[in-house]
Amino acid sequence: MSDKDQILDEFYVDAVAEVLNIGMGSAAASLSEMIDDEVKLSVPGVEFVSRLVATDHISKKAKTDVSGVHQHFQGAFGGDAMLLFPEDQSLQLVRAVLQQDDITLEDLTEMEQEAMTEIGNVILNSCLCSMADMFGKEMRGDIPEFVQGSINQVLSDDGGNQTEAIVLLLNMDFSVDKKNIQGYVTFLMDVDEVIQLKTNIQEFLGE
Amino acid sequence: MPAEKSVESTFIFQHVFSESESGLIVIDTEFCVVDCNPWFIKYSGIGLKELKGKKLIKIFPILEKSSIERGVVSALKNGMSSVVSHTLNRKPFPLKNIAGQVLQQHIMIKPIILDNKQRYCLIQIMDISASYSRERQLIEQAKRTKAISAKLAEEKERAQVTLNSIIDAVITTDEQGLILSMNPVAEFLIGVREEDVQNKKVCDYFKLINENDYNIIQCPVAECLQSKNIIINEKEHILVGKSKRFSVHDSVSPIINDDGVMLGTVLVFRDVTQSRALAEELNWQALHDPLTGLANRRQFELDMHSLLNKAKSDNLKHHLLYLDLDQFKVVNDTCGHDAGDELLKQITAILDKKLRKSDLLARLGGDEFGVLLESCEAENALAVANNLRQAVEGFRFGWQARSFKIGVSIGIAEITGEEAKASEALSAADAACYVAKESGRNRVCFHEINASASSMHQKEMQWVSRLQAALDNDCFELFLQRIQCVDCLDTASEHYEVLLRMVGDKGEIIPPGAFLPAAERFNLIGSLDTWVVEQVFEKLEGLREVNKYPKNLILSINLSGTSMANIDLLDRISCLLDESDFPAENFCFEVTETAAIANLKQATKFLSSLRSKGCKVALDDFGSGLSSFAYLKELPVDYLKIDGLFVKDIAVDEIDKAFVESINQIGQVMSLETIAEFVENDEIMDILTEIGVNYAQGYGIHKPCSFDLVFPKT
Repeated sequence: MSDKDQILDEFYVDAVAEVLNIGMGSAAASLSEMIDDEVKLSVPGVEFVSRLVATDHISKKAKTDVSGVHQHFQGAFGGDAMLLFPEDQSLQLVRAVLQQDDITLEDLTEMEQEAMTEIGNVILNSCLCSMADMFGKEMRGDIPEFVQGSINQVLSDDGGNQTEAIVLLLNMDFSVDKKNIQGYVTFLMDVDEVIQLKTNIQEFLGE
Repeated sequence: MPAEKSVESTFIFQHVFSESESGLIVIDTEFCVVDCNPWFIKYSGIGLKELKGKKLIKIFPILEKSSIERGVVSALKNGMSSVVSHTLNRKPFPLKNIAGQVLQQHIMIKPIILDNKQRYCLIQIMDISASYSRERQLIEQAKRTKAISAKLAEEKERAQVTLNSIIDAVITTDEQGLILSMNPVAEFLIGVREEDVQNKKVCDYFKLINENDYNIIQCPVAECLQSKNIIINEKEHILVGKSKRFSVHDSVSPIINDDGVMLGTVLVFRDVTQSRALAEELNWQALHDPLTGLANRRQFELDMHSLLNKAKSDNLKHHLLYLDLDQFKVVNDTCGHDAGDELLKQITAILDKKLRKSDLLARLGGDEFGVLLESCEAENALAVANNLRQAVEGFRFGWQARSFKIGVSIGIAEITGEEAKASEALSAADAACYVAKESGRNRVCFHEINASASSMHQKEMQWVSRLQAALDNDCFELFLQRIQCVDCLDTASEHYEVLLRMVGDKGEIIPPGAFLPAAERFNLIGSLDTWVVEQVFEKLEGLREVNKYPKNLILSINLSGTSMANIDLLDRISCLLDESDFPAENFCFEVTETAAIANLKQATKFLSSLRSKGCKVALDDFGSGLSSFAYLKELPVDYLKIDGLFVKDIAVDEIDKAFVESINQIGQVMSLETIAEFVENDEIMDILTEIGVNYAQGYGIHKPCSFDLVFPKT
């Protein structure tokens, strides 16, 4: 895709950002309740980019491997939602949430991976639900899974029409237990799904 | 799908539902339980009847506001799937195992939407108790491992810091002798950096040589690797560093594990350059005289000892010289110790020049030197001795515008190898030197081989016991010899010198020449002096008792040099004077010129004290000791007794006469009265009269005879 504005211009992007921020608010509320500690989530930036640009963008921030949660969704529009963190950040996040500073292992344990999956699940579900609510359409989310690897591996791991895929990329700030952790939420969609999304937005905006 | 196939399929799925090893619950939109599988019934302990159609929250109130409830809502309302992890879930299903423990649960919640849009929700519960407990164990294990590695790292750090801090150099090697590590001290001493020599052969860097012959010493690490023993060396090793050499102590220990396998070595070494130099310095000081730099008595005796052993095995002749400076006391007493020290240094230089490199010159005492002449015949030894004597004789010592003529008396003894100890040969040479001094100084005397050291020693020892016995039994007798006033020949003078004779076992009279040298040598002379003084007072007391105490009496009593330092004797004399109340001017105390000079300060003090009581003092044998008139100013004396050796030939020897004249003149100028000894005939008496000597004493005037004969009680 040479020009993202041909698909979705600023106006639509702003609308999506607004809706996603609402979703983040509800996710933060759920997480706070879960861990009995204040969790803040914010989305300072939303953009539509090509898969390559998204990969490039994330790999600039994450020198190491990334880990996170992948969840397939379908309905009003379909695709693959992912919450990704540079590996060291995901360790910090989970350990801050679990309040287990004494854990000595360098990798996430199985239990921590499950916890991470649940956290990602809550966030992604909230995002998807907020959009479903906005469009007044049905959405279905599959069971989330934990993913880990280089950003290239993770973003291309889903089969299908990846070279043509478009990414709705969200920078996300996660604040818990006096720690600030930067992550990304990505929605990978193929061109048809993006058009579907655009149609939904247009309907929502009464265009 | 055909009807029977569909029925079969449903039947299979019912079996799967029943047989599943995880809990399965289906919920409808009213949040009521539609169905659940036997697994769930088993672990929840609630029958199917009690579950079916009931609201989930009613059955399990704990689930209210739980993640499970939220997941169920999300599935039914929004069609979203959820996972509820064990770690974050604080409100799990109350499912228990046989032991009554709540299962660790991983829960998945999925929406089920049928074709007729009817919605359900499937809750799947997996028991992860086993993997959870495995993971806890793993974490605990990891914690322990981390704690252990932290401790190990700390200990390694501590060991490293210790190695870096200690003053010893430490190198560790592997079992092939390749360098593993090296601390900073080792880096400094060898002159390399650890990183440059790691995995290189230690023996190429730790190079040792012998400090005596500079021969290369085998690398101790190689030796240790071969023998598997600890190798320790604390002497003679010099480490040849890249830029400097160091004296070192070194040790190598093998590192052997419990199975006896050699793992490597630890090489420890220390720079002992300074301490070894210090030890050498101390060693030198212990064997040398700091003033002259010559060997001292100890070194001399050590060398003599080895020469003695050599003499036993070879047929070569070796000789020993014992030198005693004749005028050292004069210089020391009149010019001070600085002058004395300077004289010794100059004499050392003179003596050294006249000797071979192989001869050992040593300073044995104050003004005594020794020379060891290895492989030297008697005539050569004599020649060397005379050479030395002449060199000293020809030397004039100058000090602050004064010039001193120095003499040396030398005794020679042969080292035969038959001596039991080194000191025996030294005593023989000392004795010969004594004879040289006695025979007039500034001469060389050979120790008589016939009078072997041991027999001479025996003789002297016999004299000691004889003298001691004689003192204990009063086997002495006082003799008197008159001292005649020259100007008043007609007057019967009562001036006598008190002389001492020993009475032998058979009543024979033994002259003092026989026993005085032994008495002096063995420190009995002081006792003899005291005996004489006490005896004189006793005799006089005896005379007073019979009213025969002589008028105008002067008794001259001889005191030895040793007595000059004897405060007890001084007290005794004072006491006797006070108790007896005899006039002090009746007593004159004689001390030889040489004895007075030898202890100038003490003699001055002693004699002054006697004079202050009213006693007279005479300086005996004046002129014999090559003495300086300078002493006369210092010494408090009343009489000068001119040495008889000058007097006896006065009639025939012009020089002697001139000598006596000059002494007399000096005495007169200093208001001292002069006494000439050895006046054997009238001819001498006439000359003395002519010269103007005040008193005369000798066989020509009066032969010594017993006190009791001179002053009979009856």
